[in-house]
Amino acid sequence: MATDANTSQLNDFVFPSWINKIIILGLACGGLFGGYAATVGFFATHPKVINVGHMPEQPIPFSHALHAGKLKLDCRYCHNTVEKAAHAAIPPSATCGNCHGGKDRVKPGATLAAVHLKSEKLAPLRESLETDTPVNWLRVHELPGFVYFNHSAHVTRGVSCVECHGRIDKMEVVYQAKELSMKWCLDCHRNPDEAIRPFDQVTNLGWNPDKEELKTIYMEELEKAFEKLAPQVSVDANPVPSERKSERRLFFYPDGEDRPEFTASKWRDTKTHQDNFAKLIFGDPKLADENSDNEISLQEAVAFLDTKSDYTRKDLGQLLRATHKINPNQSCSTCHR
Amino acid sequence: MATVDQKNDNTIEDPGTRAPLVLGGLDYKGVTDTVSNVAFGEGPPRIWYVVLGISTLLMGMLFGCVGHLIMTGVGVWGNNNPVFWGWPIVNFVFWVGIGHAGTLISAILFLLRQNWRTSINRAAEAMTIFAVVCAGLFPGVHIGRVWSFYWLFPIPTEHLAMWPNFRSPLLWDVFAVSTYATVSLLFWYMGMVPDIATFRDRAKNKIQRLAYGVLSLGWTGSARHWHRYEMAYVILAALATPLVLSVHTIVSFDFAVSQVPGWHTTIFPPYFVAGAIFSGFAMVVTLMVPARELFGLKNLITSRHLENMNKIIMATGLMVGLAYGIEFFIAWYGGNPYEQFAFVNRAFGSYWWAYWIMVSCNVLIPQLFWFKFCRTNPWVMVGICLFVNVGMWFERFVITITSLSRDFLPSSWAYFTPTPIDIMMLIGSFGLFFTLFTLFCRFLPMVAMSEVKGVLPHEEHDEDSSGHSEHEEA
Amino acid sequence: MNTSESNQFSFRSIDELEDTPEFQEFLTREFPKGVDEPPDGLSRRRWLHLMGASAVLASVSGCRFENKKITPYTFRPEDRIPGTTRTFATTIEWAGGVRPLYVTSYDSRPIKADGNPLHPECGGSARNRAPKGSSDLISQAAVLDLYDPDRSRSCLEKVGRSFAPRNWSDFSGAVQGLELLGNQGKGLTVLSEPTTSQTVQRLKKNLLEKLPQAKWFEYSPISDDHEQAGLKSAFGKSLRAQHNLENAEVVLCLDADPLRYHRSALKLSKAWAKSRIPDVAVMAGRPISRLYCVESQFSLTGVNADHRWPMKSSAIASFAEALRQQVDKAREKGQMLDVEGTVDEQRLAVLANELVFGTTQKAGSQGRTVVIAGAHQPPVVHHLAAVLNDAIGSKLVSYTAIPESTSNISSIKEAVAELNSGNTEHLLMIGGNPVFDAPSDLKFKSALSSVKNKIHFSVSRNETTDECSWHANMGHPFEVWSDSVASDGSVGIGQPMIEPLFGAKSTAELLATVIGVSADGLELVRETYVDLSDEAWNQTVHNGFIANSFASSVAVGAPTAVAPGDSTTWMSPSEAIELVFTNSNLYDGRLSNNGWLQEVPDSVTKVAWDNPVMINPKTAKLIGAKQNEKITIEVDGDTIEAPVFIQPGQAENSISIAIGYGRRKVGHVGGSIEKNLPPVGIDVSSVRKSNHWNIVDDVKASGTGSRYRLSSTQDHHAIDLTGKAEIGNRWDRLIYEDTFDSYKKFAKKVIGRDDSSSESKGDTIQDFFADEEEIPEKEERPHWPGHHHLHFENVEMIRRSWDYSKEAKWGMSIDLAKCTGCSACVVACQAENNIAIVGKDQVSRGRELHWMRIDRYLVSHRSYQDAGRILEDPEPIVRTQPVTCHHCENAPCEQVCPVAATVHSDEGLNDMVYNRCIGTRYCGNNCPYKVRRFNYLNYSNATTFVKYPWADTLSQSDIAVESLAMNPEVTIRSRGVMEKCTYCVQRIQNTKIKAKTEGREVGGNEITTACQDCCPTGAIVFGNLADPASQVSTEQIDVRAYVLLDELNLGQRTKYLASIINPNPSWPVLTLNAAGETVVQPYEKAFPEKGHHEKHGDEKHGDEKHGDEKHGDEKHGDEKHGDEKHGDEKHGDEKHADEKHADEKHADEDGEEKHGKDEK
Repeated sequence: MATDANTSQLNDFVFPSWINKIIILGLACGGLFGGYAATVGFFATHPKVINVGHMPEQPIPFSHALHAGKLKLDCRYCHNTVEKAAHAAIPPSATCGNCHGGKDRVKPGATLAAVHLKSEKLAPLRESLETDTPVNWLRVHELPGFVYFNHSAHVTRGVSCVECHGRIDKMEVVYQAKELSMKWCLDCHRNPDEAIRPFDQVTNLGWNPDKEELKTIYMEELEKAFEKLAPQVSVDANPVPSERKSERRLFFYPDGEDRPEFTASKWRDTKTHQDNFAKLIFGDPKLADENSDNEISLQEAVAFLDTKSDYTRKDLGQLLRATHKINPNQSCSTCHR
Repeated sequence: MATVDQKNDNTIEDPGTRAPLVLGGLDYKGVTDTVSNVAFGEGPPRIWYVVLGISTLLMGMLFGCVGHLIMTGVGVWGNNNPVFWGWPIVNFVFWVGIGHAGTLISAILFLLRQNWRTSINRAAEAMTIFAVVCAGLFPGVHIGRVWSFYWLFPIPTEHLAMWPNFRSPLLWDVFAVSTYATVSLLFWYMGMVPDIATFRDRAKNKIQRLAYGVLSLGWTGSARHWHRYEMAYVILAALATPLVLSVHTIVSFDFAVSQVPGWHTTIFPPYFVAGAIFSGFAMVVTLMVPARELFGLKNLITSRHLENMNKIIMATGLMVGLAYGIEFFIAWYGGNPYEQFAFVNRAFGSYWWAYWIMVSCNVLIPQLFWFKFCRTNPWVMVGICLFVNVGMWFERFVITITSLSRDFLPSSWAYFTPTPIDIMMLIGSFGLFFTLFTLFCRFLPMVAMSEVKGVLPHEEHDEDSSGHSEHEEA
Repeated sequence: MNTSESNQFSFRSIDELEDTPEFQEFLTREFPKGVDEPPDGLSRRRWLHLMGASAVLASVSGCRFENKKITPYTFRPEDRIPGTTRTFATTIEWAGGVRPLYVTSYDSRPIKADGNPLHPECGGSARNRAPKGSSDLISQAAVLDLYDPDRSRSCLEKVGRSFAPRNWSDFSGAVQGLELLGNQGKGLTVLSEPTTSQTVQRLKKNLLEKLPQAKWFEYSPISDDHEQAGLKSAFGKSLRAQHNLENAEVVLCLDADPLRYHRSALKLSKAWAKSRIPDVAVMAGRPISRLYCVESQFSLTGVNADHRWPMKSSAIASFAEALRQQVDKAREKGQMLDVEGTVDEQRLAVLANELVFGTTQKAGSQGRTVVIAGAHQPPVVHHLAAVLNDAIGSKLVSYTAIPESTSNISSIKEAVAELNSGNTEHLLMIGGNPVFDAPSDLKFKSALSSVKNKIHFSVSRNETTDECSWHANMGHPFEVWSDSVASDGSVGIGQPMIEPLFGAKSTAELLATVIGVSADGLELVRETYVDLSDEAWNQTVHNGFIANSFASSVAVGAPTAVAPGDSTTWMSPSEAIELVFTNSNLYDGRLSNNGWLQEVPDSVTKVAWDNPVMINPKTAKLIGAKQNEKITIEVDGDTIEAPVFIQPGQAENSISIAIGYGRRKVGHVGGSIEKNLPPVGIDVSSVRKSNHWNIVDDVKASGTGSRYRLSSTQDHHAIDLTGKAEIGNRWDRLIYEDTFDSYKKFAKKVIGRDDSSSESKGDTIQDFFADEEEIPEKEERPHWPGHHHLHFENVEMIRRSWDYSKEAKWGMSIDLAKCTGCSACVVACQAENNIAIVGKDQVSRGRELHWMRIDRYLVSHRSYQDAGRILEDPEPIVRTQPVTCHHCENAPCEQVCPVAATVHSDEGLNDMVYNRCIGTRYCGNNCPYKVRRFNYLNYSNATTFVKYPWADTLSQSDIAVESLAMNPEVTIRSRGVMEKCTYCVQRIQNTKIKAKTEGREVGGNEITTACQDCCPTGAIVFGNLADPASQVSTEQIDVRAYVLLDELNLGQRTKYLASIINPNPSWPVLTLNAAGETVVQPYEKAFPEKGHHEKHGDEKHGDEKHGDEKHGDEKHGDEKHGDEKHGDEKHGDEKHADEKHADEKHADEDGEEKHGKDEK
């Protein structure tokens, strides 16, 4: 019994039925666009996409591939402060001048090879040497101001340049190879074994030993570890000390007898360090200790470890970390202060 | 069966009968006309424009202050060391507290079958949403670096292997207040769909018809729609009920979890929830009394509704008073010298005036509701409710600022003084609240017509024919 | 790559592309937009097709990488490693003191100054083996003066009303133009600030030879003239007193401040602290020293005195005479004088006994007592001090010869007379600021106007420069070669750390220009020490001073007797109000533009950015002065208006104010009229006349009632009575303190070593526990002083399962027995960690950023406190306690940070990650020590995401100059970020990395913090707690060790060592009796709780303040039950409505509720 006015309003104001389809369509493409925006957003802000690939055009086209790759110049020849300071300093013009500076341009009377003395590309270098104004190289790898990365802490502890800079000895023009984001750094700090290599191979970017080489290197490092940790112990009771034979024996606490906490007198107890080393490398040291005298000699160790066939970079890394006490710190103040 | 005198004044208790919840003998059409006239009548009374104008002005001032704050820094307020949290946090807790009454009315009273809630639940829920909007603004802008606000959300990023710290009560706040906002918004809008459909059918011009049409989601009032609506309403009420208690508990954890003497007490969760309901109802009464006058809703929002709310206000007021007493008792009984001084300092230290305002407004003035005259006379009750809201603001002020100003080491004691920006943002937040509320009153159905029709007096099949006839000429 | 240009000194976001200021700034990729290189494998072009990148991405991808330079050397010196710090020695003469320093430079830019450990003034054995010597505030802040953007950037010539920049050649041309050599310096007058530099003396002699008619005057507002005059009248020779307090037994200071404002304050503080180490004293079987102070204003020495006797400065002369008579009487009598009569007479007798017979009264003083007179006391007091020291046979004082010199006042008078005489055509002023600080009655400014050609040679423009026609810019000591003679006679060489920033020259070079000698600074100084071989010269420059060039003490006979003056007026001082001019951090005003010195709170008043007038509460009532209000002080016609600071303990009718404030032409920090920046503090020079230079006997002072807001970091006066009463109850739970007697009884019993055992091992307390097989566990170890403990059972640490590293557990210990409260550590920390200054307004709002806070508790005697008359105690005690972050293992701040910006490192540091902090400030609330500081506004001028363009206080180039002082190893915090003490984490990390690369372990004491380095008394010790042999480990298991707020169970890593005082039990003390009148009691009765511990740990002593179980009657019933005892003014009428309150709610907690005074 509603009045006419009402019914007329009711009739002409019913949404056309096709609106339902539009709504469904709208939702569908809204979802689609949302998904698209999410993926673009995710990729656009992915550190690998943002950081990797920065390749600025340097004032002098210096080629690492030529110098470090072909000529096999060691990284530390130019970046000589890498083992002594946080920053691996860009070499002063004088270093380039040693070869490219011409006879006496660097130091009066210096008889140095004058390589490419006339080359146009090296004009800025010669001009720099003359006028004592530095060459304005352009920065490639750059961390935010609140991050305090220290080269010496890594390079002197078995982390090679290739881990963060990639195969820079193959780059004509240096570009950033790795993303160097916080997550990326933390992944390595959390399982650093693959990244640790023998200290003398740090600047050998191409170092990639196969199985056998790994094994021999492992055994060499094991011997070095014994020299560092295991004290010299005399073996047979020969009266004449000079002929008495001695060898290095690694001590470990047999399970059952637990390690004392920090003894008040010597707080950095080498016995504890040896025990850590033994348990880490041999798992259960008793297995390796054939003559069960609670000590492992080098021979016993080599014999035990020979049985293992495939040695991976992880094993070598673990051995090196146990020897040199390398446990990367994960507290925030390691990098942020 | 409603006796004669109950028809005009339903606050008279007649044990045998259930007091009528709608006066003026309105029938279905009467209820709908009363509410729809507000939107489609000859336009709102002139005062509505005045109130809207003033509140939008204040809202502009608020956002001006927020802009200045973000460009300059948190130093524009009066915060110092040790009082790191100042008025913004007091405002945040105050507004979140006010919000809880709305959900209580619409969810808990619904589950308890309190029919008198029907005519006030819509406005109360609207107040909840607007209060949560004001509340949400403050923690957002009070942090030092607003542009890194999104670090509070657990977004997986490829940059940092970092999650927020899930042990921090501030993080629980973020989840609690956002959940509260979404659930009460959903609950409010879903409940309003039938009424918006009524508005759609009474729309006069194209814009109103399109707007209300879209908002009513194609509601036809068919039995299927009603069945789904009722079921959804019950589920949402069940969902919203725990929110009333949990959200302000988590807000109280911001203080209880810390070890500042004066904050570190286990009474805080129930104390804050009682305080929230207490200030929430006071705000509902403060809004309803002028609104029913202005928009002629006196038949729907009768003095019985107001009286019931006043009773709840008094009850929660006493709970809050008990909580003050227990705080002092525990401080003395616990024997911790820092706590003992914290409470002596609260009552007699340099902020003694704030404490005594709080106690008198929250505990003493509501005792007037023991008298029926105060419970039913609109202007007395509004006065009392204003005092309650002032008291509750000062309660948060006393808890936050007095306890912070003097804690363990006397060398770091300091006195907090607000700056003009503090004051302007507090007033501005009321501006924002009243702007939203006045717009709601004008454009959306203020009373839940569909629910009120469910509780109309003659709905109880009043056999007495005379009752029916009288109805004609009322 | 040379990082000094692109020092990482702030973090920012991506979308704000700054125009490059004068120095290149790094742009970081914090949250970039846009995409460029696809993940490996996909080519970029292919990827764009695939994604169909929208226009937005195309537009932003262009600006993704922004090329920045990374510029190396051209010829790098072989020992230079870019990005590392190096330390050089230098001895500078700066702000009136000769300071032997070790200066640390980062890429040849000096950023930190510390003491030179080789020099006895600040090095020596008590320095807890720190690699750096101790230093005071002014030395630490010298770096900031070097990079002061308001320094004059070149020579200036006055053209019309303003100055035009000129370079040095113009200046020397102008000087030649005067043809001084031609007419033998006729009309030339030189007014120079006094200097001990032998090069300048040599050039002065040359100048006076070449220009015989020139006149040379020397003037400085602060000097030791009175001491020199006093010793001259005593011994007939010009001498200087050298005090050695190392094994002192009694030290009496007459208005002297040896621990703070004294030319060799560092050496005296170190020696005094050594004489106060309790366990060494117990082992050596001798008492620790006892310090008496008789002074008018509250000096830092007064704070640390065992007994402080406030007395008007003008009365001290007659007091010294009375004391001399008493000492003579005691010596004739051969035994103790009896102590009776008024409190003054009793105290005089006690002092005489102590000086003659020492504290142990048995073995006599063996010359281990000494009297020190204050620099601003008249000469007769210095003479009396010499006589007293001779009478008591003191072996602690010796005298060294110093060159003859006329007093500064007479020389400035002659200079002004010379200027007014009119025959001066050219006036050359070297350093100083006579227009500002010359005696006002001489009217120096008007005397200047009569001279035609005036040249001022100074570091920056000041009031004097603006009157001159030429200004030549003087080099900061870190930029030029210099030499100096320290107060102990050692000759120091100052080598430059950096090229002069603005082409400045040294004084020697200026004089050389005047007399036409063409030589640079090095040659001039080298010429003075031509007798040193090159090899010896290099060694001297390397050490900072010429080895064994110390002056030997001069054998002096008995001092001449002093004409017996009046010896009674001190007992009844006149009602006239005296005004004393005291020293301040700004020396004579030349350091006004140094933000660090302006902002460090004064050690006693905790006021910053101001020099209030210190008044005793009683005198304040007398002249109607109130706190934070101004008073007028009128001296013969000239008046000044100055703010008031009510200081209980200030002598009555004696007011004091610091000089050096209120300058009008300084710079962006110290205020400048041109830039309409208000001057800081009050200029007192108008009331400083030549006849009353240090003490004005009669001054008219009266309150004006006009408001003046002092900015202080610890508003003692803003605290109401309830708060002050609580401070009285609570302070001795925070600063554990007891007497040496109780410590000795305790040590003897517990450690089983009776003090008669003569052979003293002389090593650490570690050997106390030698005879026990294992150092007792922390809990069973006896605690001292026992009666301080809050009876909370120490709940076993609720420690998270945190696997701390075994290698390092960093901790710190602060020995309150040694700490004097001088605040040098506050400035050292600010210099090391790039802490911004916030300015006077922000300090008054409690927003200073110092990471280290020296808490000061002003506590009156219990009787005054109970009578509620706290301010009326004439002799309150002041105790100081340095508080910094305690790096709690169970840190309350870490639990509440929502974004995990503060977390725990595995070595026990509470790391604060500034770039993660969003500034919710909850950690600040939850820290019980309130040591977290928040950057409320843009204090450090660092860039942020959004900011007003005019937000920076300085222009970009000035910011660049000032930020040269920043330490690149520490991130600079922008607005909206929390910061706090980090135990100098940058030093920890760098040392650990250095040790790692050298393949060795970090030593237990190897790492030192900035505050530890500078501490004059070696009170702060930092180190590795995991190493039992480290010094911090031994100190933390000392019986005196305790944790502040231990009852909160936070596992704090910083411990304090209880403070030891050595009061004289029979010293008369002024207390109140029950009726409220002052009554005189001996110390042991006035302070019963101190010194009585027959049985360790029992609670028998009378004082009820601590026993918790006796708190029954203080019950706080439900406050709504309020009864009439409340003050009425607090209650509106509706409060009484609660009488009819429904009672069912109160069934449980009734009980009369008492507030206000703690009922006993």
